[in-house]
Amino acid sequence: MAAHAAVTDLAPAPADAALAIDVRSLSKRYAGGVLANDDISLRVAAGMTLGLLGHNGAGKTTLVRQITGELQPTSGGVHVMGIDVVRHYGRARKLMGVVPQEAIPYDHLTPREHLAFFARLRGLSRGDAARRAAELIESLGLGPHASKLSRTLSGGLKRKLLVGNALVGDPPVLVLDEPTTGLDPHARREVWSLLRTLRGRGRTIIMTTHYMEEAEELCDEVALISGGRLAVQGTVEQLRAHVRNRFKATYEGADGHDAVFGETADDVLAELARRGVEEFSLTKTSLEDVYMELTARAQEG
Amino acid sequence: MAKFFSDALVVFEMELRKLRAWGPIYLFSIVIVPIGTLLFAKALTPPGSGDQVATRLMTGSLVFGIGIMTVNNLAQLMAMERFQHMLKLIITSPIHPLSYALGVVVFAVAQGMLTAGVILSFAPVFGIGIHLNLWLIPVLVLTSLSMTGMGIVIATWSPTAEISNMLANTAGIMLTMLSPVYYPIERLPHWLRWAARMSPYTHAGQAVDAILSGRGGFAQETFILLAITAAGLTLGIGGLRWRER
Repeated sequence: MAAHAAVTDLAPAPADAALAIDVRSLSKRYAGGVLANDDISLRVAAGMTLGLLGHNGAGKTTLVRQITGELQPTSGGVHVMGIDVVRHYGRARKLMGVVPQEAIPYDHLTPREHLAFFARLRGLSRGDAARRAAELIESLGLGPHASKLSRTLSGGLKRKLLVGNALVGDPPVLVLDEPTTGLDPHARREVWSLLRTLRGRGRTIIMTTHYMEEAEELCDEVALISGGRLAVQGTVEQLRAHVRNRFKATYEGADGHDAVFGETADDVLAELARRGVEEFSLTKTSLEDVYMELTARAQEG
Repeated sequence: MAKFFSDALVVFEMELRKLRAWGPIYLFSIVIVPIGTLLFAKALTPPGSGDQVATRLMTGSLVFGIGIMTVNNLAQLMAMERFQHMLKLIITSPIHPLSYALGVVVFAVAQGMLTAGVILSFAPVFGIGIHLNLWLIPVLVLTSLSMTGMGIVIATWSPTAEISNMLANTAGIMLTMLSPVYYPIERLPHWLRWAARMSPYTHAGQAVDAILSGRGGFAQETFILLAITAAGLTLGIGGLRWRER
């Protein structure tokens, strides 16, 4: 409960900011009694990129599926651009481009066909859909594979195609469940570049990821989900302020790579001096360090 | 309304691309089952049984072929898209569930009609004299449509793809075998006739046989087939699960 109180402390959405995603007291209890999500509230301002972090089974995908309307909540509500997703699912879907976690492309279609068909489902004419598909193929670097059947593509290329699929209708809100899982570093950076461009154009993005570097690179704010509850939401800097150790130094010790953590840089330097370390690298603690500390704390209750 | 039909057309076109990828396998499955049963039935028929029996064999193969192909292909297609999570891409797109259902049902019916065309083209090969009539087209379409509701329900509610395939196979074969499509209903034991009358394939068989033999008088059977088809589709569409509760 203490962690919940921290949510409002850390991330009060400005009252005058237009909310793109407004999740209120969302819970999901599956048949059989399993409580997947418990009273989650979060707000994403228009134009913001929010990263959802949490260990496997924490409830991120359940939350994402509730936001997209694919999964109906047991209680609570979700509004996307002011539209009640539960009650007006049809209207809400027009506002969102989605990369579902487990989805695969239609494997008998080529990427070009795939994107064009889904563009038509978004209301584009045949000609416009073909042009939109060509644009996305170019920006996603799928050119050499555009005319191959999707079943012959690598897992990473399929994932890229799904990201393209979410973008075909150029929706104001993107909901991406692990969009870069399976991508090699080069491909991941291509997707990052595309997402940055979209953010620059004012698109609101909510994405789950297990890559802390990705969250740090792309997200204005991150929300940590643990045990089906929202543990904390805020900027990386705000989260860092929330943990005890805000600085760390890494160095090569007698037993290999070692690290020193401290509340202030002076604390770290003092500890390094005490250990007799002269060569080191001093940085702020990474999001991964923050994540590890906060998840451990959240799990302790 | 225009978007409803244009979305259904997109889904149909997406499915149609399968024929490009796996055309020969599709054609093989569409042709081999009904032609195989026609050969089998002909082999079991004593020589000189007459045109009436030959027409009935053709009727049986048509109804059996269309029924099996439509229900199996529809259920397998929908189950595969559901369990391989391709359907999530459709569900998260702005498309009405019924547009999707219409697109895949039309694709399955198109395969049924292709099966019918192939079987009919084999009539002269087997020396079976048949009367072709334009009414045959709507009757065959209704035959194909009549069990699509069941296909939708099976694919939507089965817990796994394997169970869905098993149920679709069982339902298709059981219904065809329990329905007197290769012979008149009077040949069935009394206690089975009531069950047979509930099956759309029974009425499809009667109507198709009446057309192919040139007897006429198929309006009543066609009307019953239409009623069963409407009821089945209503149940199927009602059972279509889109969002998870």
